[in-house]
Amino acid sequence: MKAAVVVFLGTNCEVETKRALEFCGFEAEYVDFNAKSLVEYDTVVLCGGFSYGDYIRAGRLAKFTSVIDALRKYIEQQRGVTVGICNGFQVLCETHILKGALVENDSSKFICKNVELELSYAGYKKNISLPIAHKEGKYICFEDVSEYEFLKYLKNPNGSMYDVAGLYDKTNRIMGLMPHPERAIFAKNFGYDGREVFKIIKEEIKRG
Amino acid sequence: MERYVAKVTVTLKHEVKDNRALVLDKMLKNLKMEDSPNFLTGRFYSFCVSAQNIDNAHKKVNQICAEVLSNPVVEKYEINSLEALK
Repeated sequence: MKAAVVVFLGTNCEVETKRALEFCGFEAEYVDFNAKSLVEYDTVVLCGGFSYGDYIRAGRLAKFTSVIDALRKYIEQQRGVTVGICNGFQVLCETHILKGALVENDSSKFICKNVELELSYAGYKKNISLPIAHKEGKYICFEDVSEYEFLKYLKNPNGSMYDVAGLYDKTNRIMGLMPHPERAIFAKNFGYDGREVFKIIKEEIKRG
Repeated sequence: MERYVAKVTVTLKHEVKDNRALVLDKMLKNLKMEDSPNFLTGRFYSFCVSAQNIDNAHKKVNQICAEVLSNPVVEKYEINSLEALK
């Protein structure tokens, strides 16, 4: 399985995301923000960081890059699974690929800690623990998106509506999440629960 | 083509909680300067556009505000002024 790790100016989680994907059995490579096509990849991962310095809004300026045009075609063709982690989730919301928007946390503070989450996938539920690190992570949507939620905060740290930590689009082929699964893969990290998220990505790819 | 300068503010929609404004409200109250200041926070932009007339300049500024400077899901914008550069 081939994975693309999209790198914008200001992205800073690409190394650990690529390493985590490789550990979980993907053949991962970095893809520049100037990329014109993504069709050769089974999954495209937009990782964390501060793309374009978070100027205007977090994730806003990435919207105007050619890799996002390529991503729109990739989604239209239903080629593979798109994943946005942290800043990647913000990019997916700013581009309106996923519903809603992410605004400043209720505390107005940058929150960096491990949180307890409920993971739901295909009728299966599990409590997991993953690290979060964000200031603009409060999810807002004026439509009911609870049926698309796959990751839910058990103790909401930022004021997210419906306790959303991660959600799908209606096709289940686009996933956005604020916690960092790539930081919970190895013993030296925040536990091993990040592997569960990469397992879901693999299952979604196999499902076709 | 003429040059126009636009001054724009982007604020959160009424239904989105404005945390910074709440903190400022509380601060002014604690300082006993004002009991209910009802702050509204946002971002201010000033920029120039080239257009043939003021109507076209207005359309261009609206497009820039809607597509680049604000997220219509949670934010609204207001064009405070649009004037020809002398």
